[in-house]
Amino acid sequence: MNSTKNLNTVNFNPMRDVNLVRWFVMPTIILLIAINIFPLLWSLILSFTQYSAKMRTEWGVNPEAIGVGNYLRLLGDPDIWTKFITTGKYVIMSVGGEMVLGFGLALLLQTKFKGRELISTLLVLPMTMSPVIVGLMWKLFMDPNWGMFNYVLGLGRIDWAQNPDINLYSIVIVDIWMWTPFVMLLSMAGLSAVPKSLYEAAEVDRASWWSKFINITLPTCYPLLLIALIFRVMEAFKIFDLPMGFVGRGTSAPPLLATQLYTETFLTWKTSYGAALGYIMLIIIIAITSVLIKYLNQAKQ
Amino acid sequence: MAEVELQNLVKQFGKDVVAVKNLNMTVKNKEFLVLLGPSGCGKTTTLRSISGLEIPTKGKIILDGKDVTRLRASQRDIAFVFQLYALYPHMTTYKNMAFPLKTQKMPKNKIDEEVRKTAKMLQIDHILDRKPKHLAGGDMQRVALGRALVRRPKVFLLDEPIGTLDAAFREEMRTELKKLHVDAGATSIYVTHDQVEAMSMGDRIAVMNQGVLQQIDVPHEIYANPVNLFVANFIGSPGMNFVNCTAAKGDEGTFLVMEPDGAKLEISNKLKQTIVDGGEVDRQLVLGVRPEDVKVSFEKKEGYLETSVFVVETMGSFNIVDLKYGETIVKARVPASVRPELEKRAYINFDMDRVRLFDKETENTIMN
Repeated sequence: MNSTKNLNTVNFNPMRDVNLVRWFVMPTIILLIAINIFPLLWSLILSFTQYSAKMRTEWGVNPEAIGVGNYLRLLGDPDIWTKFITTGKYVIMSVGGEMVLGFGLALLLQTKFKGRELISTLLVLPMTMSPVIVGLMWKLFMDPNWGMFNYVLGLGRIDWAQNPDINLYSIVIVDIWMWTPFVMLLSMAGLSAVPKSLYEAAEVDRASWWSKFINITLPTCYPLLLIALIFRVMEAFKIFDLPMGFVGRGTSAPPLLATQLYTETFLTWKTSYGAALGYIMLIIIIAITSVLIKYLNQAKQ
Repeated sequence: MAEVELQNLVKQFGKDVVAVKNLNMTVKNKEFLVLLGPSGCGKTTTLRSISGLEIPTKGKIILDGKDVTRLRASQRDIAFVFQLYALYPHMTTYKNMAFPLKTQKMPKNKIDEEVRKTAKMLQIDHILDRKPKHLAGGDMQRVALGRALVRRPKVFLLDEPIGTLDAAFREEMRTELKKLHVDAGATSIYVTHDQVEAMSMGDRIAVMNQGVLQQIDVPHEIYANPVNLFVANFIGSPGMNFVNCTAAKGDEGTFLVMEPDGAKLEISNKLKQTIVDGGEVDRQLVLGVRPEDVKVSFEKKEGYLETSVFVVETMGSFNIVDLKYGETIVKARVPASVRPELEKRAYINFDMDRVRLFDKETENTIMN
């Protein structure tokens, strides 16, 4: 009893395994607190104040606490509801398209054919690029004057990026192009986990292709599909970089929440107002994902 | 009414692996046929070919008078019980059993009736709403059987269905399976590598080795009159003893000269006849004898072979004594009370009405 106490308290040895582990973890934790946790809490405080990062600050004078004023103003703004709806539409269309196409591609890639590995690798490439670059690239691609997109499809001079009536859909297309491989990869992992004997049993049980798909393939892949859905919904809800590269920050940019957040915070410099919007988005994302995670836990069980 | 006929069945994987070589076999209506053989002998491939899960390279499969060789599994009226059950993991017992009926678009109340009836017969009606994950091995096996039974197929194909259960339970399931087969009145083909299972369950046994059918017959015939050395050794626990010998003809008639010590062994008149008729005199033969047909004496006896006790295996109700005759081990079955000390001299002879003679070169029996 005594000897163990001595080891722990008296003979502190910085090179002991446990202590070494602490040394290695420390920098990461400090960094996380500095650039992640502190700003998170600080912006929460700011969201209850009136504050602009551009204004000169004297401690105690500015920021000025105004309680839930920012939130009330935000939720009372009819414009913000359009943005919610647009963002919702965007999430449903892009994530929906990605799920269907990604799972479909994974199903197609199940059949063994020559060059299957090469095609899978090529299909994954869009995902590895930076969203801003993807946006810029597609902007050139879809340019009304000399873009390849209109030319190849023979569509005349449609201005995919700047026409506010359609550029939301253009971004959906680009988003689907970029993130379908992600769903595809997870689906492929799910599909490879389906035991072959189940398909054989279903074959003996005289199940049709569709019945096998519904009763074996989908339920077995369901947990992984849910994980893909959670990731994609989260990402799509806060999409910013892709439309930024694709449309730019002009007035024709589609009214998405994250774009609005950027405008409020960094263009009109209403910092605390932007922080409040950020928190509203955070709450919505947490709400949606916690519902999905509940389903995921049910499925895993 | 369902008869399964295999004609010149060949199944090849890739270029080099021939799993089944030119198999001809007829499974009679309502018969319980056991496909027996060591692992890799092609028995499972044969079963899968009958089911339609594998398409044979050559040959024909006739089911109930109809050529089904090119039909898919779903187009043949068969049920398959998989070795590892292959239950649908996200479905309850009830849904697992209802599935093959649902795919046939049977009305719901009819499905319910059939499932409950079958579940009751298999004594799994209390676990109908449980998923496979929450079932014990034996129950999973019963559900797998239930899923096969519920649709009353023409042919049941069972791929080592009780191989993964523990020993005591396996014995129980053996009886139960045989009873189910009789009750269902269907033709069953059962694959196993366990010869005890085969002997106790099969109406007939088909022994396979390296893709070739060795012998197909009723269990006691396979046991008593194996057609070659492989079958003789594979069936029985322990298998048949083999002693090399040569047939010779002297003044007093035909006898066997045993290797290595050249002892003479008198044989029955029937065996003499077989040897003479077959022109086997002076040929190298193998004498096969079951452990229970070895007569052991610990006193010197005229006409007996001299051996020494090598190992005594205690089996409970009887003992197996391994006797060393030259370099050959002869296993003899003796009463449990007989436990000779090692190295002791022992003298053996065989029940000549029950020994089998094989040609050493071809390994086939010289008897009919």
